Amino acid sequence: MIGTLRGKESWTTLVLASAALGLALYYLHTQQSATPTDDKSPPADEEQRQDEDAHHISNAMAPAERAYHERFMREAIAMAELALKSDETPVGCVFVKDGEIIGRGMNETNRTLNGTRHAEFVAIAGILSKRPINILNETDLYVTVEPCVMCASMLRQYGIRAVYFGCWNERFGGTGGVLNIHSDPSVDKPYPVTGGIFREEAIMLLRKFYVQENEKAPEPKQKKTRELKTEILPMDVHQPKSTPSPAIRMPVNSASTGSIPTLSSLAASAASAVAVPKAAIPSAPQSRPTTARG
Amino acid sequence: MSTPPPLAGRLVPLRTKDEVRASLETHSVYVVEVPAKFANAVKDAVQAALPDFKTSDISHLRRVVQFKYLPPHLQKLFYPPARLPRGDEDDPASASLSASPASLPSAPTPPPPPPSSSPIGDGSEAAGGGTAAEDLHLVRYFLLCPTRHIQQTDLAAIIRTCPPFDGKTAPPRIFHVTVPALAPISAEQAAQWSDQYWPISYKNTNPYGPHPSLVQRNQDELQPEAGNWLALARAAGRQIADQCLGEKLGVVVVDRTRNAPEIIAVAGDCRWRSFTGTPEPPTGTGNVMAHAVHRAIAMVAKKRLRVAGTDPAYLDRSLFCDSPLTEVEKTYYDKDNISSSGYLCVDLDIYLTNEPCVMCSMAILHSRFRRCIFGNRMPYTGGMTADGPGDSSSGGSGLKNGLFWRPSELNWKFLAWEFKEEDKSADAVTCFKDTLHV
Repeated sequence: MIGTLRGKESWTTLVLASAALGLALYYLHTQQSATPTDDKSPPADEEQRQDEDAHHISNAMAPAERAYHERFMREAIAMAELALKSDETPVGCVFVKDGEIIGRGMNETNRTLNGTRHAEFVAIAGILSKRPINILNETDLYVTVEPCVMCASMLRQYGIRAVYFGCWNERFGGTGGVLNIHSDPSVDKPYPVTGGIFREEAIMLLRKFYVQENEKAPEPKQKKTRELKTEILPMDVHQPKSTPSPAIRMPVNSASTGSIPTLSSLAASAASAVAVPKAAIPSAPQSRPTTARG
Repeated sequence: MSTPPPLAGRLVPLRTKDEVRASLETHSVYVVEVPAKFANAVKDAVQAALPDFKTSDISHLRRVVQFKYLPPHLQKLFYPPARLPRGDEDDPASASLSASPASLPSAPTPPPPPPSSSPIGDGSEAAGGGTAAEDLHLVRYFLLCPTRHIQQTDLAAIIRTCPPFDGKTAPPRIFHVTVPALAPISAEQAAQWSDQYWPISYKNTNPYGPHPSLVQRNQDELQPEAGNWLALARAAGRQIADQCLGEKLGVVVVDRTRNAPEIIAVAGDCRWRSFTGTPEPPTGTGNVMAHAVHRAIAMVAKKRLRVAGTDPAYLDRSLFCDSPLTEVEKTYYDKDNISSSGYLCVDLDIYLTNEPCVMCSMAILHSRFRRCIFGNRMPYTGGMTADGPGDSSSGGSGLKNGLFWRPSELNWKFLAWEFKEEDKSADAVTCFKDTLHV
């Protein structure tokens, strides 16, 4: 079944298959790693985890507060969908001040041939053409994918008030996914981050992008591009890799949310007993290396 | 325009984050003194008792070492070697021949002399001098495992089950020795550690960074001309600062893949330029997105768009400040010397007057640059260095991110050097606040 999924069936099928696979492997994983020292072993009970983790917003917030944040994350997702239609890595963001959207951005790296044109840069370039820089001290960012190391540093230098994001970026996330640029010692004021708002939607947008590119470009044109190691598997873009900083508590392992397996959880749980069904993971585009996102 | 005179100085490769860690991390291991021919029995017994211990963790350390190859401080500590029972004879030449295992345990064991009460040989040693010299060749110092794996009393009990300690003889001498926890990254480091800690086995690789020979080869290529491009970068910073549009910081992007080096882009810092293009008062951070690195990367992209027949102003935004503003920027922006088929900044080198901030370091990584060379470290804000402030006069301790080489975490890596200028002009060193983001 899984072998037929790649690039053919709808992404919803992929989600369901992934979810089923995730739960199965997750079950295996917890069976194998049920030792007291394994701090990555997620609590079996999702309800219990909701109480524990205040920063996993979709679980822990009061309904009114959650609705407030979800409203803006919907707008960010709309920007990401626009990026997808424009053949860009689907990452979108909005900046919000006093409950009002003051800027929108989407990834523009492919069209500009500039790997630094991330959604956050595009949005801030719009905002600061009308408003002073210090307005960012009272502004929150909602972005579908965790800010990368570059954007995390840019936001901190500008003095952003807070960052809310959808899925983690395991390749180059700067707010917990790989590094903790938002909270590391620095001459700039740290900012709080909250991840996991509509995380699955953010991941699925990324997956759609890769499937879409695969269909377009069946054969690599240049071998030279192959050595770039630009392959970015969509599954590894939503889970913190590093130890979360003490300042910010985050979900230790997104396998605990159960629905979608991460690449590392797949590898970890499948290593001993189960062969990883690679076909379930859409492979990265070969002919056109995808530029950075986030 | 005339080219500025080159800076005089030398390239020094940056240490990666893992190299810094590998050079600092040590731990304690057990070393036991054992006759050469019993080393295997002891090894097997210890191995069997410690299933979690992987010998690959200590594969950079020589396992069995003769006295004469120990570093001086350990020779002093271990001297004199115990007079260990070693089976049926004391002659090392015949010992290697009499390998019949069955004969060994049953052979008559000469009673060992009582261990010397004083650690360093004095009168009592002088009497048996000839025998002591023989012992030096016969016993070996066997590195067992890191001390965290087992208590010393438990270890001693295991060793006492093995010959030659299984009889009612002298107890095994077990020592704690501090050794490097991780493998060396070069032959020089291996030699230094062998003298300082314990004999090292160097496998001619660098697991924690680029191989030294690769770094050297690239350095030899770049060294003769690095001063030129850094002088040009400085000129770019000076020109933009003269217009009060930014700090005296500049960047040069060079294509070194062809026969002659080709300058692709030159950009100065533009943080104090307003949306409308006028200078703004230099307070606060200024326009962070207009750091010189970002402007240079954008100019490379625009040149690629232009060569490909696309309007370079496509999706342009004034705040990015990515059009050339000074004479030197325009000179190189106008040259169509870049291929349209290239990808981002692959194969290009970037030269900077100062160590880039975390944001710009990651922008260089996102753009897939090949090599990065900068002038002055920025110990409060720089994102490239991994080992602290270096010899910078600043009080900052360095962010230690070492972003240029973190292959297990980030999706690109490249070589990076700092340029140690011979006579640093006051102009270059002191005109910035420590906390400035480059």
